[in-house]
Amino acid sequence: MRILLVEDERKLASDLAHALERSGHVVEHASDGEKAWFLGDTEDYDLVILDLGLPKLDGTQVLRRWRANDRRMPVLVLTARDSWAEKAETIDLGADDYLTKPFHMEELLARVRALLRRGTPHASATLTLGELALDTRFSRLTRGGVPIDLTPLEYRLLNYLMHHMGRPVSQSELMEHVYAGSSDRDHNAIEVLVTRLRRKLGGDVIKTRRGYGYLVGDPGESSE
Amino acid sequence: MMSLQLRLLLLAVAGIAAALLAASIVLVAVFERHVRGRYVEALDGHLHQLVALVQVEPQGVVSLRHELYDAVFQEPLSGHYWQVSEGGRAVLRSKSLWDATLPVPPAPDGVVNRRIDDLQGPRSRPLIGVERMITLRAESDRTLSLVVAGERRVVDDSRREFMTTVAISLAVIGGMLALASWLQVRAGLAPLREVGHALELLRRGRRQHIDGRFPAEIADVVDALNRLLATQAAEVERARANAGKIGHGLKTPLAVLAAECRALRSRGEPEAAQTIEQLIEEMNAQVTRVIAAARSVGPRQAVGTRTRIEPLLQRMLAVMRRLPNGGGLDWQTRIEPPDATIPVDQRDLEEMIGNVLDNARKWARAQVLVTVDAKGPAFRIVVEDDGPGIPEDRLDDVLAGGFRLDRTVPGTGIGLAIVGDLARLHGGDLALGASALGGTKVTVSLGEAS
Repeated sequence: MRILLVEDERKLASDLAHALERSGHVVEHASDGEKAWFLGDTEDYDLVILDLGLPKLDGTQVLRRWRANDRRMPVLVLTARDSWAEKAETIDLGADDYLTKPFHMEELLARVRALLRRGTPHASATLTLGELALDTRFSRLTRGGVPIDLTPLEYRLLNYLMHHMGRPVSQSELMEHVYAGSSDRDHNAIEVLVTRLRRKLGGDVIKTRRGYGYLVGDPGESSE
Repeated sequence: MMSLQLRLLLLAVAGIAAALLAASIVLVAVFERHVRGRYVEALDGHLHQLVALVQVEPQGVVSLRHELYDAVFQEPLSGHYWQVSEGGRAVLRSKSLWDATLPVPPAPDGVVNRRIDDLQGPRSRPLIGVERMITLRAESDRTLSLVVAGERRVVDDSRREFMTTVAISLAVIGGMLALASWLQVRAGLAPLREVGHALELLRRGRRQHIDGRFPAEIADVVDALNRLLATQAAEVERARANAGKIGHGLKTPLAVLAAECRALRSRGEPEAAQTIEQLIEEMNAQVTRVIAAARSVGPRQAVGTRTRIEPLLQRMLAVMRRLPNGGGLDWQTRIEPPDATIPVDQRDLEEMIGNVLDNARKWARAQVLVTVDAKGPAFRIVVEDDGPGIPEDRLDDVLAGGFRLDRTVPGTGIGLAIVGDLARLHGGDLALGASALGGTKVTVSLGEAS
């Protein structure tokens, strides 16, 4: 999944980015409020992790502007301000969850997973599709309890599709959310990945909708 | 310490008494002088008559041409007497003297007229007398002393009568003046009592500043007090802002330190990483609790504050419903009475209710029940959930703070400890127990409600 990480503390940002990448996410980093606002306003992210004390533009202002502009991606606020008056204010502005510094990485990752699952039919950290079970905590795929090895890219692609179960996802959307940065790779890369996944999972798991993209599950299954 | 009113009153009464006493002394003295003067004048008149009537007969015998006109000199022991003496021996006496003589002390040489204040009359009555020495030219060297005297009782009686009158009228005047000063003191101090009343309201949290119109002198004091209250409020606000800044300043470095720790672990130093992580957690718990306490307004600074519980609770519930797990829960509230207010600062109350609700949100399976009881003298917020509950032997650890029962459930584990700190600051307490719903029952009790 594609995550925007907004944090001005460099050490903390790189630590967070590594942890998120290890969990199979594509991470983009913004170190000040203005850049964060611009990226969140123009790019598509599955989740934003937002620090509030930011240079140039305060995190609460960034959040306010996004929501005013109808940008609805889930936002996890990461803050050192821990009074309930401030928390309530932040959540009123449109934050979906908050975490106070210092935090446990496992806890942050758990909240990220929970927020990503919002709006999907999945209730736990393990996403299921028939016999397939994708454990998002450990980036593991099993079929009927038997593990199936996936490369990180394969995992990311399947993870994204399963989070948007029942909706056809275009190749360009997959490009954005699976590969880091705005890469110039041609769309063959996605086709190659899908072909490899189909070989591992069986041909009928990932369906192709001509002119729309790829789809897992039955159309309309998603609550999106 | 003696009351201001009593002190002012005593001073006024003492002043009035001293003034009246001095006035009465002067009045009586003036009156006595006047009465005595008139009396002596009358005696002088008789003396002039006597001088005109005295004659020396050819044989050398001293006699009067005729009796004095006034009958009192004929009546025995009437109190008015005259006597003519020569060389210390009485030669002629009024009939009123009967067989007594006036013991006139010899006059000093050269004195012609004098007043004798301490003359002893018949029956030992004190007399006032006037005396004139006359020298008879015809028979040279014969000097006669002529004395007319009257009882001093006349003067003394008048004085006594006058003194009684003066005493009664001055006592009445004194009483009226004392009453007037009592009224004056009461009226003068009334604004002070009003200020005292206003301060009492302030202390009990019914007002935030002193209202009302006061006389100029008191208005200055009231203005100064109001300014002091405003300054105090500003100070509290500043201290709060500072506490927030300190929190921000300490927590970000702690988060960075935690990141360093994870790097340390990945470099193959898990033991060092573990030690540092534990320290970070302890420091965080300490800092969080201290900052929460510092940021809190507390009961004393929150003079005059009252917070309505219902809107605040609804706002915090709205926040809870938007947070993970909170939306799917059935939040029930019972507030009794529905419009209850309590003398606790809004942010302190938010902090307590927020933490307690947040705890329930994280643990509850399906249901949370919030009961607010403000009927009695004490104010209680009870939050119950249907989660797994806290084992009885762990209750103390939770109250102590910084201890996390389950690391997989989010939270810093010190929320309830902060609630306990704040509740105690407001003269209340925090209690944990088992709920009928199956989970934890958190009871926050606070001070007086109304």
